[in-house]
Amino acid sequence: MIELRGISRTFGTLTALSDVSLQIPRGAILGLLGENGAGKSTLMNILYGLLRPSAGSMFIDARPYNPRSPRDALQRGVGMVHQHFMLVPTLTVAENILLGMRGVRLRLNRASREIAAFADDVGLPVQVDARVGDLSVGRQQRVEILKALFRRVNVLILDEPTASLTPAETEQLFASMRRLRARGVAIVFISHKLKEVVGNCDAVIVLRRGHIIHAGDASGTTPEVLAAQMVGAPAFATLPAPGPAASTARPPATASPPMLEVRRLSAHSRGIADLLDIELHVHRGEIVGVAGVDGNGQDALIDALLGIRSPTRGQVLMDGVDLTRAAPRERLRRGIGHVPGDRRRQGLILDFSVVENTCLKTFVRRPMSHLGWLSRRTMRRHAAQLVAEADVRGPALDGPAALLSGGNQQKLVVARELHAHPRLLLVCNPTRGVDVAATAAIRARLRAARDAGAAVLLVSSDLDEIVELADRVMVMYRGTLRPSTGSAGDVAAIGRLMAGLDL
Amino acid sequence: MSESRGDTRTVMIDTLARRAARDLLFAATAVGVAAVAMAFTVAVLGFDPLRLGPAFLDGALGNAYRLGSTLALACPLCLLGVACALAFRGGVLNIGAEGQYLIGALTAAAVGPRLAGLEPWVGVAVLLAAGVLGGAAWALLAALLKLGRGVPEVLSTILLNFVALRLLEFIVRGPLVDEQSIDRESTAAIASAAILPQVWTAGGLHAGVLIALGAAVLLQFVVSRSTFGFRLRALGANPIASRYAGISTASLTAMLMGLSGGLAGLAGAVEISGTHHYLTTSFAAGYGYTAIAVALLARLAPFGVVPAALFFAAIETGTRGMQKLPEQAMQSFPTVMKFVAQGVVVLVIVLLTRPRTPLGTPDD
Amino acid sequence: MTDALHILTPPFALAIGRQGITETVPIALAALGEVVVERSGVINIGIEGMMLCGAFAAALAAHATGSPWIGLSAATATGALCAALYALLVVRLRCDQIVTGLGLNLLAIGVTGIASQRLLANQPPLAPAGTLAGLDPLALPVLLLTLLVAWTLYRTMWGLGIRACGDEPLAAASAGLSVRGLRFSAVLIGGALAGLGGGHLAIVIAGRFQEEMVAGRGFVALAMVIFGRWSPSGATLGTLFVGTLMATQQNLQPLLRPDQIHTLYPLMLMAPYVLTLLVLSAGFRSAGAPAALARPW
Repeated sequence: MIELRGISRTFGTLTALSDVSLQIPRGAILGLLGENGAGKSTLMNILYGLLRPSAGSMFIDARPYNPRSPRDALQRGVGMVHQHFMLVPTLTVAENILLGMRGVRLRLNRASREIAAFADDVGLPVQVDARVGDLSVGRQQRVEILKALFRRVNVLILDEPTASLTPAETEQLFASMRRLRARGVAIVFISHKLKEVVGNCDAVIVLRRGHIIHAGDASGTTPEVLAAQMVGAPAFATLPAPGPAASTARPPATASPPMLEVRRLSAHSRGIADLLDIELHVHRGEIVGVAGVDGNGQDALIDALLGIRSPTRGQVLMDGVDLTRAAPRERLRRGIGHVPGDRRRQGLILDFSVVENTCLKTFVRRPMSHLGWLSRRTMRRHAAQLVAEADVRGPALDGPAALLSGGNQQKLVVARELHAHPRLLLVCNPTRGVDVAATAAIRARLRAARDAGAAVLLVSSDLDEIVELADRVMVMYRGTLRPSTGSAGDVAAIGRLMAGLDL
Repeated sequence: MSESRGDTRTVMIDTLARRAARDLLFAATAVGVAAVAMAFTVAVLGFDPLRLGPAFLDGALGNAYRLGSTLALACPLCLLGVACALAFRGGVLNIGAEGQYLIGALTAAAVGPRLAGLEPWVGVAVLLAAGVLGGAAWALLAALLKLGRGVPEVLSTILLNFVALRLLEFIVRGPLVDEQSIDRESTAAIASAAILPQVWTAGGLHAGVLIALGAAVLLQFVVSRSTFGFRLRALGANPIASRYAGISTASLTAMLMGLSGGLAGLAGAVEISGTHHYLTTSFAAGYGYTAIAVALLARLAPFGVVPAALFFAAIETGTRGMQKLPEQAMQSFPTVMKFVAQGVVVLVIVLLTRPRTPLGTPDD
Repeated sequence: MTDALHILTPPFALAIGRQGITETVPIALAALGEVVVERSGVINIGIEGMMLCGAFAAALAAHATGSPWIGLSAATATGALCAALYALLVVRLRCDQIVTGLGLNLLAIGVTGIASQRLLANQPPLAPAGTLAGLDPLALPVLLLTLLVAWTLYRTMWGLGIRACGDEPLAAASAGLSVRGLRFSAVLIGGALAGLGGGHLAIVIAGRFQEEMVAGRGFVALAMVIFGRWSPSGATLGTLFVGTLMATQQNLQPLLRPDQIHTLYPLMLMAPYVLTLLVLSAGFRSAGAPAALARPW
């Protein structure tokens, strides 16, 4: 039994958690729900010793529990599987599981046999001598769970464990969770997917803005009730209508010649195909969704379309012009916009001011510069306009972009890319890590761009997002891209393709 | 932001002023700590820092001639400092200013004697151009190794410094040796047309000081106001985002390396043209390494390099001044003390500008 | 000029081989230490200064006690001490690793320069350390150390932790390891070995301390870590090439006329650096580099 009493945590003036109390009995699965920024991760990081609470106390089996590090947590039987796996890709499964254990010698053969036997015993068989980097995402997650269980934990925190799994892998995970529950492990299941929580948990807690809004049995509630509680009624009311309804009313755009045409595009790194014979058309005025679990070649596809990496074979045509060998700058000049999946690394220069970031792709051209010299007044005026348009809120135009919140950074990137009226827009996971209001605003802008005639390629690992926005859906799996034959809303068909199963 | 749009002008000035004030404070701290460290070493060596202090200042600034020497020494340090600052700002770790400086001096000394009979300013221009080309070519070797073979430029430029030093010795003793010299350790003197004119006769100061100052001012504007400067800063701050923004990072890296090397080569040529007039095997004095400390003290701002170069030049001439004190003991006063000052400045700056811990931020 | 074919005779080759091993030892020691350091995710450009400090401490201690072995011990301890300062700055305080290393190198030149003028002026040559099995006294230890470092990295829990820190420090921390503690220990080991290498330079090779006597050997060691793809045996093998070249170059000198030496000597001194650059450009693959190299934690 683990118990939290009055846990609070502040970061400067911001209160991330306020007076949170809860109990998790052995052999139970607790679902923890909340929007991004609701305080879920903060709470779990406190439980796992990565953060210290500002106030409150914790107990395990009625003994005080004050972890100062993950090592303390593990010693007291608390383990965590992070959303981003904490595995070393260059090490083997066995080495990853042994990492951080006591002892001087590393007796790999003996330990490997033990681990293999243990894995079979708990019903999570793995190949112990495989390099973790070579495993699928589902298998890596299994290694993560084994890593915790092998340390004899009896409290297991799973942080958004289904976010990057295929539907089939997700089902396997739930089966494993039920087996662990039967063995007396207490599980905290963090998610923002309501159906998963209601269907697989014993109890549910909803966090909003650091407060517990709801606590009770999972059987006594419905996804609809929880959804309203998660986002708060006003935010819920402003959610936009679902996409397919809006898009079915529009005439099919496929009649005109394609804006983007990709023919048999392949790309390899060190002999391994990241992209294999990709065929893709995107027309003016349509959003083509690319669904798929992260890491199946989506980044390689975008990079190849942008000219960041060169393909080993195939062609990329834009509006009939062959751009296969064109430099990134040439492609941008021809009207490709790009909202990257990782805004902090790819989309913004965090040390640069907001003004400089708004001109990141246009500073070479008039009126931003003239004869090689920047026109700082024009840049400023442009930035002020953009910021007002997109309702970006933050400290100052001349302050570094690093000071903007995640949602505002994303709004800035989207505004910058859309302001240039791109003919072709490449978008990756545009609402990841963004709050509800900003998500709605960003999706609305993407639809508006589509309606204004842009060809939009939307890559997202969030199936709901694809279903809501896309007019047509393609699925990426191990470097191949296949069209989903069903309607855009046929989630089951998409799911099978995501798992690499033929229809 | 939308709330504060009315007074963005003041906000802008405020941010800029605050940044400048912080840079100044950091530099002052580094200089202060370096001064204390030097006083401490002097005391450890058994000398009286309080008595040496005035001698130090006298050596650096005591009369027109000494002030002139300090300014003359600041010339190569300034050009080399700007070379390092530019490269570092663009994220290119050119530690090879020393080698590029030596090669620049070498090419200048090679063409120098052949320029007799030219108009004076033409001779000087050709000599300096030769230095620029020599330094740039040497730097581009490292760029080639980086872009072609993936060799980190930190290592290749350092190793090329050692190669340049030995190459200089070989060429000065061999192909370029002045047959009239007794020790066969120097080249022939450059033509008078290639000698930089004096701008301050009492201080013995040559026109190189104007070149150094001009380069610092010009490049300050280039960095902060030009599209090239924008690219350079973008590359240094986030190379990945720069590529996605359509900046050709490979060619920009090569350009920066060439520009940095060219400036270092220019420094070598200015030394030959303004001060030495011929090249000897003892030409290398580690200015290229001092330049790293100069650039860091200047917080990588080209114009900040000017005072930073003056500071390190003063340390060098000040130490020489102390050696001229009447006591026997002072004649052995160690010149390597400047390295203590440089090391301390580098470490203090790196300590003050270390990244703040990313932990303890709220999750989004 | 004597017959150039002389170089091919067995005694001459043997002399080169023996001297090559001696020239290899200091660079190999530094490189082996640097393998451990880089595997933990830290790059130590300050290795050159640590070798210099080691050389100075060795000369000072050997001068004071008359024992070359105490000299070598002092060198090791001094290298570790410098490394502790470096680790404090880059591991604990997260300073930029490359700039800190450069600063440390400058400081090392200054401090050893001043201290040697004060403490080691007019020193007599140091007592030699003798030989072991007819070879350099540290030749066999370096061979054993190569195996030991490999065994430690691949067959101990500490080594597993070090490798994890270099590739994915977040995963190491999450597994309950102290990334900073592991990196600190790696840097200390690297510094101690670099110091010992410097001590060897002063006691076995030069027989005295000279300012700037390390002459880029630390940087050559850094390059050989890359050449050896971050493996202990690869690093030792790489340094053996450079060491052999240095010995060859020294043994060629007597074959030249004095006036030829005057001009050609610089070219001979240049050879090891050129070889290092060539080897780097021929054999460099960024693959195999620890993923978190030079990234502070």
